[in-house]
Amino acid sequence: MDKFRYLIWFSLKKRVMTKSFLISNIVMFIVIMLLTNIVTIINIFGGDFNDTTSVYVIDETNESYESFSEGVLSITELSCAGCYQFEEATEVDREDVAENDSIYIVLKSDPKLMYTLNIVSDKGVGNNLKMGINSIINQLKLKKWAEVNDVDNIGEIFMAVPIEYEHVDEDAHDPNEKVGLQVASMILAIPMFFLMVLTVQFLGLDIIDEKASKSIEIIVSNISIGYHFTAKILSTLIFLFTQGVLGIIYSLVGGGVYALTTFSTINISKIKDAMIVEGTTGFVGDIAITFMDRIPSVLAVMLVFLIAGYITYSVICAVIASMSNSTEDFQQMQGPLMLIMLLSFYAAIFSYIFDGSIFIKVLGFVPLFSPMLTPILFFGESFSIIEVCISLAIIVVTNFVIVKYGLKLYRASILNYSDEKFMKRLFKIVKMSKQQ
Amino acid sequence: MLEIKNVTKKFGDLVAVDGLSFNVKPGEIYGLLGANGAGKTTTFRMIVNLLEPNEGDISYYNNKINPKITDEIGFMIEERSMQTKMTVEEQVIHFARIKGMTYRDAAKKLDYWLERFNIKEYRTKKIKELSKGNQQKIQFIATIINEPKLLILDEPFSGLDPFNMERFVDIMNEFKEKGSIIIFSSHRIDHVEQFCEDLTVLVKGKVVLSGNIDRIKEDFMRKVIKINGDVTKAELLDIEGVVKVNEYKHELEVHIESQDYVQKVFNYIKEKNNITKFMVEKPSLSEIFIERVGEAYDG
Repeated sequence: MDKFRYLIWFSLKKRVMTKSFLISNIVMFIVIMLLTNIVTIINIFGGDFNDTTSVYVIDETNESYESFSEGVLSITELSCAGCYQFEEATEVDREDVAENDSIYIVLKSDPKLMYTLNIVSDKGVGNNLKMGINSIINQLKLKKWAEVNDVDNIGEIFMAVPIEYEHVDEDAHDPNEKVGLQVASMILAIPMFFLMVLTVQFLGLDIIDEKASKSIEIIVSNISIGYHFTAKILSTLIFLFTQGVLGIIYSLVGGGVYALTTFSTINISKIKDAMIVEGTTGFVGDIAITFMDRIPSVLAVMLVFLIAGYITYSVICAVIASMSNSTEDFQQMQGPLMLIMLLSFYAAIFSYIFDGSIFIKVLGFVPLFSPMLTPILFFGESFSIIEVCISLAIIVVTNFVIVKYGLKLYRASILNYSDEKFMKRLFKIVKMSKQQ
Repeated sequence: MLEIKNVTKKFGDLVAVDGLSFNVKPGEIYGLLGANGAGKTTTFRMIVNLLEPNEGDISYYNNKINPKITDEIGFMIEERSMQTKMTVEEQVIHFARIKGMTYRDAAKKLDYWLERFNIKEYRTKKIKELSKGNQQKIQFIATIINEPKLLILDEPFSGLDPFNMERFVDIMNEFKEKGSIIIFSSHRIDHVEQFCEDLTVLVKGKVVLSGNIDRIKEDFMRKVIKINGDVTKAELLDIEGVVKVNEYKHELEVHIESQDYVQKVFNYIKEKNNITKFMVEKPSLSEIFIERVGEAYDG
């Protein structure tokens, strides 16, 4: 193993083989387990997130009410126990819809597609209900098709049953969209913020530990300062991925536990019907369903910006640590950087409130804000892919400049133990870096 | 061979080292003497390439020192350069790995040196749990674990008791016998006088004395003659080459211009009665320092 790889390995080992890493991961595991199983936990204690919504089915086919309502209920129960109750009705009562938020489903026969559906609601229908209806009506269609065995029309078996939605409140938007955006913003921004703060802090403290103890002199007399700087940044980046992967594993375990505990309470034959929502939880599941098509591209953008943002923040943090003489010194000097990180986090999680605001859009192009903000803006469709690319180009160019000059400052300051005031020290180091 | 040629280092307006030159051959112990702020640490930092000189050259076997050849260098800094939360073995092996050693070799060498210093039981202890003297030993072990061919020791004896200091010196002499180049600094004039063949004395970055210690003393000893007998200060001042005569209770101290005048003074004295002492004195480094700098050495 060469010295560079050794230094990366050593820095990584130093972070991972600590009690604090173990404890923080235990806490993280517990929190994720609790969050992913929050519905089950609340149900155990008799609580419920939602009021029960009445769903009335007007079965004009006169043969499908029971199988339809039972099937849909079993699926909605998976992600939202007790949220819906089904009853048969003879006609749509629009007053009841407007006043009580009831939902009316009109089930009709269709000579070719077997069924068509009309759904009347006040403002819209929850995603889990939508999923349940879609899943069951298509199964009923298959069953009926098999009975008729109309081989001539086999092509129609692959066509979805048409569902028409009617909103009594004409001004209503899809309620899932806004709430989903709000929650999804938090779901995306919180791990990014958490990982960023954690890794940047680790990096700074690692450097300051070596500098304050003067062991840095022995290290950089054997390894070039550039190697040391790069090894520190890379080892922390690897740590960031390790921690991120662990977070995903914890979430999968949590999701698995949720699926197991939920499936055990229902008829096992219904599991097949529910496969489509397997691994999702009530709240998260709803969001996943709403934004399903956007998730892969958002995650890709998030990953790219996480790396780019990490480089920006870590280089700045490494330079700050190299200018500090002690942990206390570092804690004070990194304050403004943490503040910017916090502001960008708030900008990200509240960006949906200021949807379309020029200020938020501009912040999406500012390198210290864009790592957390741009993926969220892209997610909420405030940023197009072109704007994302522009923001990425800006942060890449900024990173290039930051790495170039950051390394110079790092070289000049890592062996400088001056205890002058920060600004004076900074000017001195800038002057020294120019002389190098 | 380590060659330092006309090296100057400036920090802004401050000249930390001014035109320093010296060579150290394999198997030599070279001393760098000077008070705090004299430029010793800056010189060492330039040797190991932590600082770039503004002027002059530093070469090790005709090569500039770079991270590719630092595996054969042992560098011990003045202040303890250890991460005190680490255990002894973690710290020493970490430094050894940075010097390109394998874990296995480093662990084996560590065992040997811990045994040699009688501190084997400290292997798994945290550095912060050790006494200052033991921390110094661990730092010394970390410095020599790679069997360095160039050993640079900045104030290696600070905080050591005479017994452990002797141990350090024995090991330094072993490395000297093996042909290592050893350069060490001290603010203690007696340390340098005791262990080194050659030295450089720095005052505020400037060289005030440099060369082989015996030769320096030889040059100086020929200039001071101690006399006891029936002879007066006035008589001695009349002799050609005598610059100054200090009169003490039992002797006269005669300062002459150069060694050429020793014989003249002796010829005069031998004619006198009751002469009980005629000694061409060997001065201490401290006296030489006073002579050169014009003030007492204040390490």
